[in-house]
Amino acid sequence: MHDYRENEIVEWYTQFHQTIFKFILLMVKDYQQAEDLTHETFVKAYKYHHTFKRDSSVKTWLFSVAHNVTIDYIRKQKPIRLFKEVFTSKKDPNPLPEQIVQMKESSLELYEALANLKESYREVIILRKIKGFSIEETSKILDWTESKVKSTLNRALPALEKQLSKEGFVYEQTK
Amino acid sequence: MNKQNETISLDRSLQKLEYEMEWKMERTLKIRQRIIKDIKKGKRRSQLQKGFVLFTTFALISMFVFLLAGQLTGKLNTMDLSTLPAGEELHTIADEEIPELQSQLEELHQVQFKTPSGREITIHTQENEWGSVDNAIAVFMNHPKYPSLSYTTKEITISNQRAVLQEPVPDAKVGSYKLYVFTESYVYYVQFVAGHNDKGDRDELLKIAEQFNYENL
Repeated sequence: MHDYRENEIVEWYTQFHQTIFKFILLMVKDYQQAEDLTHETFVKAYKYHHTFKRDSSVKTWLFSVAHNVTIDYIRKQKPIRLFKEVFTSKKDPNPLPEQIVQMKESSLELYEALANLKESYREVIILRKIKGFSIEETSKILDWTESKVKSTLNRALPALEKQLSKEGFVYEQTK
Repeated sequence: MNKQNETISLDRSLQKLEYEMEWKMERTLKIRQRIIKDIKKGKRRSQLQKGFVLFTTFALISMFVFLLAGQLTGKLNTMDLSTLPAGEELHTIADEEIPELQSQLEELHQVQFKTPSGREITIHTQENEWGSVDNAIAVFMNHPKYPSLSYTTKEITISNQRAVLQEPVPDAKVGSYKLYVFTESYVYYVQFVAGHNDKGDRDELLKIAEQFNYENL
């Protein structure tokens, strides 16, 4: 028997699964993990549904859940990643198998450049510039002050530009 | 390209990234199924937990009620009063011969019940404030020089404890059989509730009093 929470979560999944998945993928750069974390985000959203006070949009709330799930994962992974980096020289050759995610070639460079930024820069760029959240919404999702959002974004964008120029990224032509 | 154009261009590239990435439909459906399955699993687990909590609560309450009922109507051949100091309830009474027990805890340290003959007996405890069994017996026995005219007393042994039996004189219209059992610490009063022209039953009183275990007090 469906309860209203379950119905709501399924409906939210239908509306937001793509954007949540992409956010997580850009954060963790691992498609399988991104799927698992997307799954975990919606299961957690069901579990903590009663804590959603409706003082922000559903999308903002879901992103804050996704953010927490992702950050937890990244923090747990840090020692493992460090171990891998020290003892193995090989990098994951193809993080985007086509049976899971489709991405145009033109965006791959940007995807890689983002992945090489530090975590706080990456998430603030994704939320503000890719997802289009306002400063207020971003501060809610990240649980930062608005001024922290602004100042971090101000440092993150030059860092991304630097990374892109290192990789010889060709900018979109402006009219 | 100047700085401003570069920034605009970067913004566009970033926005494009959102639209140029696509999570495959069949994968999204698989995850959707997993979410629904896990939500249901979580619900079942939570229902089980709730059921377990309810069951445990119910079991504990039932056990408590059962024990309480057992204390009030239980059929015990020997009653151990050793854990009941004066001032506390006397819980356990009666063997099969006293099936209809109406325990009325009128006071914290007192219990009252009906005997098979339909009479009522009360039992209560009090600290032995006289310091010793000898002293207490001396107080409860009739005064050698000025004995009561309404009852006689004699020392007997009940359940290996020294006791005083108080018997109404044959023509007494009031008063009933009373028994006082002594330990170094406590005095136990076992007595019929006096009725008009009814002194109670001496043998019944003694039989009930014998059922208690006064040791280790």
